[in-house]
Amino acid sequence: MGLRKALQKLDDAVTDLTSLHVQTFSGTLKAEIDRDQDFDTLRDAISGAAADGTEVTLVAESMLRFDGDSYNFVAEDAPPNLMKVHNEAVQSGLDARQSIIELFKDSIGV
Amino acid sequence: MSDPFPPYEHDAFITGAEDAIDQLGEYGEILEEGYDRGLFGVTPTTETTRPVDDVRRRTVAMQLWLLGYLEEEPEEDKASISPSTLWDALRQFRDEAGIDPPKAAAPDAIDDDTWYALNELVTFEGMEGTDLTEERLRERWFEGGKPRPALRRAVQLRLFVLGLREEGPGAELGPLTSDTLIPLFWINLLFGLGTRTLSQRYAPEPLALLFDQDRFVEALSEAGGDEEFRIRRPQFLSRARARDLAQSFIVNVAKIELWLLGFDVSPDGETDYSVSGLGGRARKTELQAALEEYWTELEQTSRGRAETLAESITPALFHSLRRTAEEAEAVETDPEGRRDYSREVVEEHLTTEQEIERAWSEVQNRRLSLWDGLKRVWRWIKRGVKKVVSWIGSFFKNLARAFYRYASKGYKIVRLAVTSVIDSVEYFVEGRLASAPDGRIVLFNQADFDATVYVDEEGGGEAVPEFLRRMRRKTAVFEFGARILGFAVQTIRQIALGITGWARLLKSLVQSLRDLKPYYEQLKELRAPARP
Repeated sequence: MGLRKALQKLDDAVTDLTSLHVQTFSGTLKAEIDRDQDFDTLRDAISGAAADGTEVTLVAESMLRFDGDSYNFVAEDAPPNLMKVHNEAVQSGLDARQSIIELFKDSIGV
Repeated sequence: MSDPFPPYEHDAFITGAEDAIDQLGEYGEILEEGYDRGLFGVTPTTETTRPVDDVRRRTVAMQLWLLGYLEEEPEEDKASISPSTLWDALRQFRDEAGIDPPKAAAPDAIDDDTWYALNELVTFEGMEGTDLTEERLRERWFEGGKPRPALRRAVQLRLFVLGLREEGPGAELGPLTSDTLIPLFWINLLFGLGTRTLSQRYAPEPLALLFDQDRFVEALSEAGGDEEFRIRRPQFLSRARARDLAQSFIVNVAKIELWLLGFDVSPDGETDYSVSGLGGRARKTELQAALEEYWTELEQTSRGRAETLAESITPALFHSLRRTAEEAEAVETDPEGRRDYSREVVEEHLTTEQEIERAWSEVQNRRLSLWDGLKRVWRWIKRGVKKVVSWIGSFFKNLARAFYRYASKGYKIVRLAVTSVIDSVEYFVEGRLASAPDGRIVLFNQADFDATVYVDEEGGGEAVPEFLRRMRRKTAVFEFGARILGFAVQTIRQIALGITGWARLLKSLVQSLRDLKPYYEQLKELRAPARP
């Protein structure tokens, strides 16, 4: 894939850069997950569509609206390690969002 | 003018269009086309025949020939060697140098490991960070206490070009004998190169000396006043033999130095010039012309004085070379301690489109001299020779090769940035990251940089630190890739409007090189396979 196509793909995917939403779930999965497969199983589990007894619950959620109206939810028993992962996912989203904005600004000389 | 730029068909870029994707997409296509048209000297990484033969490919062929891996000398201006012959030679070299075949899809690709190893063995100035010191030789080029065959070939080649051996390496390497190094042993005694009596064994210590071209210049600058050489003949070496050895060494070290400075001299191992104090006859050779040009252009002496100085090789030549090296040492370095004059090249010397095209054309038929000698060239430039005396003189040739190398390096950096951005888009739009080996933590990226994360009921346990590291690396790759790409595009937009087409791209790559290098180093590190 060339640069133009990649950026076009990004452009098609990005509809709203005014907010960032990260949800972190935890629980027991019946199906084993590995690096390259079974992601659909997890996605189904998270959306509650799994029929195999998988149970996951929302443990942390961050919704950052860049107009200032944001919220954070953290379950009382959320393990510290889980929160590290959640917070890093939020930071990653923020950094990536910032990078693309800077790139587009640089390229048109704003 | 030979080899003018290939056609350029991307006039839409830099017209001030306000669509970022168009601008960036166009830039990516210009880079790609520049690569396809052979604009840059980058390592050819695939076996696919390219539409334009690559300068670096020709260089590799030449180096392989010098080391005895190719039977016939490659022709200068075209690919005279069939790909299969070249690949056979590369295979043999890798085998003898202890390099694994490249992991790329094409098993015989000329990868970076091969390229750098060849340069390490063949160039006179050495590679930054991998000079053939005793330690480097012991760790990289000796195996089980014995030199690797590729190093033995390089030793034979070096002795040959120094006039200390009759032939360079051939197809057959022959047995390993200590006789090979006897001439070096004598030279060490005659000129006091090393501080100790040199071992004649094939060991890292004598070989490190053999590859230390700077030390030769230093020693020869101490071997007499300005007028005549003096040698320290040991009693057990005949006068005639001492004179012959010294003369060969001096003539050939001088040839190498002049060649490195871009003069039309071949480091051919021939002893065919007069040496002051030792005899020999000056002939109307390329060496005489180069010496005259050296004294007039670089030392800026009068024509008459230059002719006198060029009648023979005198210690004054080595005094001059050494003085320049020492003065350059005092020159300010960049924050990382490396010398980089890329910006000065395009801001002070190659400022117009015509000059840039001329510089690019100049290097197209060059091979080894394109990759060797830059340290010396910059010593002269920083010493104050700032004016391009002649568009056909050695100074312009040196600027041209520096420009080409800087542009190629700039391309390499921006190409990596483009690849990083493309990979990152895949990851951030619909990518997934799971902890290894059992997927205790899984992250799905979604549109708008949103994410959904799953962590197992034990909070990810010991998988967490490694997962966090990988997530940070992914984000940082995008960040650095985007920063480099953004800066590159910004730079090309800001180049003066009078410079268009390929000249504009090349100039922008050279102009931004110094700023991009620190980001590049970090990006390379981030993309490197994780260490266990």
